[in-house]
Amino acid sequence: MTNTLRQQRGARRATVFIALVGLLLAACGSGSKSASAPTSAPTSASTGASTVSCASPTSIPIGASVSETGGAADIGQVWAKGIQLAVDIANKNGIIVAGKCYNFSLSEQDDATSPEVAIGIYQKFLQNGDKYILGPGVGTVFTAAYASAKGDSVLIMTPTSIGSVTTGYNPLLFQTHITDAGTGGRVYAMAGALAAKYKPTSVALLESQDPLGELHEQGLTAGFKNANVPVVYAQYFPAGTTDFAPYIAAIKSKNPSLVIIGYLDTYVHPFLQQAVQAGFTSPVFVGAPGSTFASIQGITGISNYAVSITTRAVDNASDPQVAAFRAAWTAQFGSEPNSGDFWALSYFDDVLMLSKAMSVAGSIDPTAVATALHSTASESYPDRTLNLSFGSNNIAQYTPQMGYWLNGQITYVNLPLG
Amino acid sequence: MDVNLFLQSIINGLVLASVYALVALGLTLVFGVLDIVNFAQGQLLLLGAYVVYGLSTKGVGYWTALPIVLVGSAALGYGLDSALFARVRKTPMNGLLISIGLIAIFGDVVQRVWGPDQYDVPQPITTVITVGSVRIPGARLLIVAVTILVLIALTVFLRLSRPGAAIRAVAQNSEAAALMGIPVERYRHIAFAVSAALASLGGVLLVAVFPVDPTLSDSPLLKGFIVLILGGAGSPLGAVLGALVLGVSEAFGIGYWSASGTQVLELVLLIVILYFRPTGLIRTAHEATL
Amino acid sequence: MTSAADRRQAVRKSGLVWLGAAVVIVAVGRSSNLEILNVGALTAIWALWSSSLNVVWGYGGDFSMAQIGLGAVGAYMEAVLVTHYGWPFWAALGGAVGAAVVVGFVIGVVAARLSGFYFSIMTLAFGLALLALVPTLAITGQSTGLPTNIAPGTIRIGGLEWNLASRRGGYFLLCALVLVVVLFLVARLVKSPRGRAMVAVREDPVLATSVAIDVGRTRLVAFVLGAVIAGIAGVLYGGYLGFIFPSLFTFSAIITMIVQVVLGGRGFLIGPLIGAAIYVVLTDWVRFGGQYSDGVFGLLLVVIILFAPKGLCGLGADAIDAFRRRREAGRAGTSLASGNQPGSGPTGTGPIAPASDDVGPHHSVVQTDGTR
Repeated sequence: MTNTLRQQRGARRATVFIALVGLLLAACGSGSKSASAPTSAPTSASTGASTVSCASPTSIPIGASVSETGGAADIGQVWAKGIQLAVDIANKNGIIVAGKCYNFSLSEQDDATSPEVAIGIYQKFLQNGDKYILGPGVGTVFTAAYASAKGDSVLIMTPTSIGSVTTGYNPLLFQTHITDAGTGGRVYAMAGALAAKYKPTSVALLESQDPLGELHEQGLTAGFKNANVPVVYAQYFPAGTTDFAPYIAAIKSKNPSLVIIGYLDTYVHPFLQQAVQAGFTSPVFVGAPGSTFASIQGITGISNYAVSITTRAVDNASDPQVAAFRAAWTAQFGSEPNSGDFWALSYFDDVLMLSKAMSVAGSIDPTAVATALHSTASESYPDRTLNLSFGSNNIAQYTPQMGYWLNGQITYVNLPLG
Repeated sequence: MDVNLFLQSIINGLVLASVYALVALGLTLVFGVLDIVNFAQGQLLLLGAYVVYGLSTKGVGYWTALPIVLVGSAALGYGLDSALFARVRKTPMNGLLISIGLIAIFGDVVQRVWGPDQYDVPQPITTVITVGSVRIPGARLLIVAVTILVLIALTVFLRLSRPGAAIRAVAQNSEAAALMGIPVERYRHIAFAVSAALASLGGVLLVAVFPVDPTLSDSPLLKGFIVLILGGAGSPLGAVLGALVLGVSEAFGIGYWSASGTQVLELVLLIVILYFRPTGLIRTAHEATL
Repeated sequence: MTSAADRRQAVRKSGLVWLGAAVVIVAVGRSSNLEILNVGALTAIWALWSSSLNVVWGYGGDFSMAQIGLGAVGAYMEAVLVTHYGWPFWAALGGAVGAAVVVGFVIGVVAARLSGFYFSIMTLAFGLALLALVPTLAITGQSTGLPTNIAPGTIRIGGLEWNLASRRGGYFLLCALVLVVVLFLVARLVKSPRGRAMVAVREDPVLATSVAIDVGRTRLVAFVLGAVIAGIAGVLYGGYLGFIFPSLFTFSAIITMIVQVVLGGRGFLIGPLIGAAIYVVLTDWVRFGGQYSDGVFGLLLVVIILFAPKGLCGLGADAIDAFRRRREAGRAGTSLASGNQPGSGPTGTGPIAPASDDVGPHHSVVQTDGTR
């Protein structure tokens, strides 16, 4: 096995060398034309035309650690679809780097939502010499895996938003997420938006006892305090709860006009069902970030429901930004994406941006590609769904959306962060 | 307003207690008759829930599915005991270990067949009964009512029927029972079958109210064990009393105080009971009061 | 009865085993293959952690489900001391062990009156209670957890140096060395009078009392010893992950540990090591089945219990005994050799492996009642 790896590594090194030499020769030959200027033919999802023939592309190994099983399995399986979709598109269009053609060779592994397994997966990728790794997407799993790659020259892309991971700026880490914590964070802004829109007299919070649940409640409490709305109930329930009747009874006795539950659909949906059965339908219900409109499916009796979308609402047929994604998804999987498929969007963007960044950088070296990735030139990324801006830690951010549901009618509104 | 919360908490407590009682009854039956600690009881509950869901996607209604699941799980229980647990009768610890292995196996099968997503089962009863300002969904009442019926049926079975007497004899003293001509092994299989049916009944009842997903049985299993100890392992009456105590106090704890605190307290309660009265509320627990 | 010659042969053979272990460790440690080093470190950690269960259960006879919780105590203590109070690693390790001893002592004392099934549930209750408590405390980072910031330092020997925190060899060396030291001590314990007392208590508590063994004290000491080992393993596990949080230490981790000990063979010194190796290779390396690996383990456990309840080491020991008996029968004509203790061979197994399958708890409530 080691011999083949060495051979592969040798072959790859040779390829890069030849590419660089080619670049050098090209630069010497025609001084004015730069190999990295964006061409006029966009590599869009709908048009598959490319000007260089990609008959025998060189493979770039991409490793992906995805939670296909374990606690985050339902989200992880959507992540996997997003990655696969984007890799297929990038390969179909061909990745042109300095005149040479490449494709992505995806190795997707199941980290079982376990940091222990994810570390093993990372070591496997590092041992193989992979230079590009996607995920893990679950914060706690990612922290362990990422720490195990410290010091290695590997470009890592992840959508996780759990902070305290990056101590100091790491150019080789590309995190696209929304800051949730702090007064500049999304949950804080969400509280303000909800207060302004619904003008509640008081608020109840109920989330699962886990890192994100705690993060949400802290941010929401601070946000509502700032908006002068009293929080009359703030509790956590243990993971795996299905019977919310005792909680509903307690919340009902406090008579709030706005109730926030979270953050997974698997919690919000039964909660809403049981709230209707308990006759508790008057307040505005809100799903904490992570939940979608799938929670309100099939529920009659509740008029007002709101969620905050991470990435972008992919079930919104009238949003031009997600049109390309929707078309690609429908073509690949045979049906339109539903609201829960928004999870796929960040990896989808990440992989397409990666292929584009390689073209822009004219190299498949991770450092060069990372520099190109952080380029804020939006014309380099015509198919990017999320409009990114870069924060002080060079972490890519985008503006989240709020979705408001009123008796079946949905409106989406941007939620600018403070 | 407080009266509402009080009354509602009692109702909620009864529902919780019913589920816990079903799990604990199965556990206590197997413990009393077969000396086995069956950690896989939760998976049998889960399987019952998923099969009802699976049948509903094929157009089989809830009430038709109910007996199918019960009979099927009884058969499964009978088979598990004959094939697996019967071979380790002399070493109860190995029975416990086998049950642990079964947890992983069943959990895996469930995930492979149905995946990790949550599904709604078409509700058999959608009426809501209103008594003053207290609302009792009919499906929840179903859970409590069926559990009470099952309790009565089980008691009648154990106390007044021949097979019931045989099972009690086996639990009390298997050697003497064998000497009296009772086919001990067969009744052990039957006891396990009944226990499996009880567990899956719990699952069937749960999906009348709640959606099904892989974590549905996690909490009932743990609480079932707490109730087993609380009430006294080996005593069905203890299981019922323990379930009432735990279920109602849990509903009140969540309703009036905090869920996290209630979780910790339940475990502390378990520790305290184990320390001061490990045989549980019903004193003569292990001398088989089946 | 073993003669002096037999004893010398046994010592020579076990010396060979330790030497062999040293060779393996150095060989693996010099590897530059990240996957091998990773698997090696994780195997050593789990082997250590499962050994804590083996001490309390395999040798001591008490089926404890608190070992994972005790590991969590160690891991969290180290993380809090280093991250919040800036303690150096080795001092924090001492603090972690201290915490594990205290908690282990408390659990041991409270559970001392019970045996069998009730003892096990008591230990489980403690483990779960600890786990329910941790997310409510700010100092442990609630549900998010906290970093462990392991910095054991660097070893320099001659021109070679190993950074003990490095994934490129150092951490594996640290974990492997700790495992070897602990196993060595456990082996010596098991041969000592105290160790024999533990086994006596496991086999027949009433008889043990009648030969003036303080059953309560013996069980408590065994439990605290198990707690120490678990605490150390927890610290190393936290260091491996870099970041710890409550849901690492739940019931499925308990199941993992039980499977390892049973697979390998309880009551055998290297049983947990074998079980850990199988577990780590299947879940983290080969990833056989990926999403099926849980079910595979369950199946493995059931099969082992039904067909080889003494575990793989038990199978090995039985095979060696059968072989030896056949050889001696051949040598001595028709007379069969007698007095061979199972598991006393050169496979590095403890000399006091369980003689029968029944090392389980009996369903008595109070520990002085050894019969049903």
